[in-house]
Amino acid sequence: MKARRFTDRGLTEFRGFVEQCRRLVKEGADLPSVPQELLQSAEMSEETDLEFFDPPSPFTSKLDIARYLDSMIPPDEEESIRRDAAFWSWLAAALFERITCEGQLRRIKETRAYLAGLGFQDFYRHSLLGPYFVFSQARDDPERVRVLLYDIPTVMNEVMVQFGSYQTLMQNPQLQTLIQRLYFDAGRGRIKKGAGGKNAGTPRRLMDYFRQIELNYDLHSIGVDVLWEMLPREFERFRK
Amino acid sequence: MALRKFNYLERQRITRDDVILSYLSVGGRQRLRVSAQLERYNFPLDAHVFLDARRMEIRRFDLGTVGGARLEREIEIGTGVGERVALSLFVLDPKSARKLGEATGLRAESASNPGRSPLSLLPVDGSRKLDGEPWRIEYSEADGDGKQDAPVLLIDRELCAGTPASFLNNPMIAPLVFPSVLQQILTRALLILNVDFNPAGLHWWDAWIRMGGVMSSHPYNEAGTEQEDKEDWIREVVASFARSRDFVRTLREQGLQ
Repeated sequence: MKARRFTDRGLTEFRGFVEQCRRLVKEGADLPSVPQELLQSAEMSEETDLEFFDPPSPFTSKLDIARYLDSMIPPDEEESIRRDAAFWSWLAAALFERITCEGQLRRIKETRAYLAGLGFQDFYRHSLLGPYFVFSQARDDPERVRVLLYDIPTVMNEVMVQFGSYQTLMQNPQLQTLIQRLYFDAGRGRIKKGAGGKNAGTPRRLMDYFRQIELNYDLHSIGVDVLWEMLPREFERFRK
Repeated sequence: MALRKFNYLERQRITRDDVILSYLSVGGRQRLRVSAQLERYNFPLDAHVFLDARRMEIRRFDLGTVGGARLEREIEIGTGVGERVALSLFVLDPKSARKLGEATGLRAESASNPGRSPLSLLPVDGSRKLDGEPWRIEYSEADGDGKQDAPVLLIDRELCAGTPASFLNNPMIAPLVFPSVLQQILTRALLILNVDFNPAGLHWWDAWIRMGGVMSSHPYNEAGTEQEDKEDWIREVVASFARSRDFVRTLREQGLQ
């Protein structure tokens, strides 16, 4: 089966469907399935050249999502596919149950987690495009971005919230390595305790620090070890 | 109180007039011509020059060292850099990675028609299907820093045959599309968003309203503030623009009577 991309009508219908789901969840009702007509009719979507296949098993992390998508998207088409918002929205509809499933429960996020936007404040919030984009920037060593992709599809951790829209980091292996080292607790397989807050040394403060120094320094040209040594004292608690 | 930043390291602001960027299509491939006049900034000759193209992602192009008086490069940009991206040029100290100079918010023009693009403020994107509409204008929302990208003219990709210029340079199309684009964008700014025009402002609407004043020889601040005054001013700008391009004659020459 070929993957598809929504038409304008399909996007409007899918938006309505997501908003209906959000209302239902608030009322405590069950989430409905995406109507087949929305996924398959020529009025709602058109075929792409990409082969679509069901994920072999439930997604247990965003890394699973990224690996599944990476196996679907040919490297030489990656650049144009990344910018096809109508395709990503259709894909979210096709995998809606998988990306809203949390154990036995269903959980729905904000609308842009399903309807893809390509603005820098939107794309990383999409449940599929976000993980895929991060993964594609660290394909040579995905462990470097585990701190951004370790958690389940229905949750977005504070590190991703803070750094997702920061393009300089998302594409910079040195900075990716730095935040992985700083905030990922390998023993527990999740972000370090306290990294989700607003206090000294947290991702929020690191963003402020990056923005300050990149006024005068090019962060693409500085190695991770130099950056590590440059960190102000307030990050000491996470350096251990 | 708003956060303020100090520029202790004396980074130089390179003016947009010193960096000219133009797109050209060579054998169906998109290229970008970069011409930068950097000698008056006295950068070290071994300082590195980079161009960043930023939208959903950043693509960086190494332009080599400052070298002699004028930097001229032509770079292959593939499909990842369209006409709607914001471009920035950086000059870096090769040892410390310190920024010695930068020019941000640059836009490129079409090399086939430099400085004569009918609406040079308008980024064009011909990469999408528009579900039957040949063209439309897309407006972006403000980002977290309060910056709002300029409106973009979208053209259905099936009409672009590799580059939107082939569509926009068609003498049957330009006279019908461009006045309407101008009318829609000024209406959006003045009647829908109801913006406060700042003659020296950097918002996209400031640039469009300034351009309207130049086209009509009637600056916007001299028009009244009532809705009807704004509508009259927009109509005058669009008519002046169409007259200056002689669009009616262009269409008659194509056989329309």
